Amino acid sequence: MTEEINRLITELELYKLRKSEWLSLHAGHYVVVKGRDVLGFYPDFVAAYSAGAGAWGPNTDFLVKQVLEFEPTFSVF
Amino acid sequence: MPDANNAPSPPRPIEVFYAYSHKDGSLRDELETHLSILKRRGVISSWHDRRISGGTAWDDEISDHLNKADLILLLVSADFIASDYCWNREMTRAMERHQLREARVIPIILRDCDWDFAPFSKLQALPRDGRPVKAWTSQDEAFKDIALGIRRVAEELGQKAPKPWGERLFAAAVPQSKQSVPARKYLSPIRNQRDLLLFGPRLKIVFGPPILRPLVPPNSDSSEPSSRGRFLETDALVDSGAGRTVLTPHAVRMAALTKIGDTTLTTLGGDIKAGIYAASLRFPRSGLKAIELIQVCCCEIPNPLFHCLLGRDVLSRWVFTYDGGVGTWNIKEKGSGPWVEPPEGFDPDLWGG
Repeated sequence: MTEEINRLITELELYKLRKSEWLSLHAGHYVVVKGRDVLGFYPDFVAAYSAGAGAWGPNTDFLVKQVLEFEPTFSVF
Repeated sequence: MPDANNAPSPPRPIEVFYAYSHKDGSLRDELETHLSILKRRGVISSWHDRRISGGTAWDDEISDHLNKADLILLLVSADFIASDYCWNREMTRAMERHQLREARVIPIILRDCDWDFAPFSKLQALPRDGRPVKAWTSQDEAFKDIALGIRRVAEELGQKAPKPWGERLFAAAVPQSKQSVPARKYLSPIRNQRDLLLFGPRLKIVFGPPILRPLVPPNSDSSEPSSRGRFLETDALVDSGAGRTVLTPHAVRMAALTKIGDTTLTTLGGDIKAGIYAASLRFPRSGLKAIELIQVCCCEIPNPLFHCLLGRDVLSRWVFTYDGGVGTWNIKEKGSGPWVEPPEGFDPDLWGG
């Protein structure tokens, strides 16, 4: 569990660090990151997740995140 | 010597459903015996209600099999036509699925009766010329004729067998306007005003890891099993107030879903950080199209009855009708292909950009 949290922290830090650069090039696309490795940018979530699962296996955790200027929040109840 | 790892997987057997009156049970058994060769060859697999195990919700199980069968055999006799269950439930649903091209229906005329104006009268019946099995001099010959007819249809259906998951996933990336899948409608199983008022619209779902495995190259370095996840069934609350579909932490743990990010959720108690997980959703009792890959949020749900809220991300695929006065709700699936989730691109107004 700690490993998973650390991995996600690393990936989100990398996203934060490179967000402005990625926004100018890939706004709205989905980035796939594992640890500090950036796999690529994809036009939709299905393509992004499939690429990550294909590269690292379906049982591996990795970050799939849409490159957006503002983080969306969702109301659930 | 052929490489077993690279051999193409055999096509899935055509699932056959028998709709029949129990008074024709012995004729149904005989027909099944004549279809044995197709079963042994793996061309068909069959199901009928005598396969229901004790303690099972039989009506649900019959509907489940009827909704997923590829080939539905209507075993026609005066008793079949007289049976409300056979006529109103099985035959009506079978004809709906036939018209939607989801399944093929073949009337098998067992005993002589008046079926000229039945909804299935325009379909190609078996045995040949619609001559009832009981009218043949040799019953074996009649069943052989039926078996040959079913074999032809099963082989034809086999050539149109569902695409493997990988191809289906690829299809998900095709713009929806280029696909045409007929609409379907799911009627709420419970028609009870009080129940709906107390508990809300509940839909049986099976959740689990994304359905993607064939996409992973067979020579992948990964030595892990094909999936660590598990598929679990639960009642989900259809919740138009939820922007995203939610699973409880317990459900996420049980299904061993993979975490792909996090987000902020606004709840009555304030904003909370929640994990995002990759999942699939299936709707086993309803015949609604499965969602092979979806992002779900993970947080506790205040209502202890539920481990899943189906939010507007799922509802956006359907027409959902709620009639509290009568106590019913219905889901109509739009006539479109598999869904890309979330919608391609993003809407700055929606996302606050």
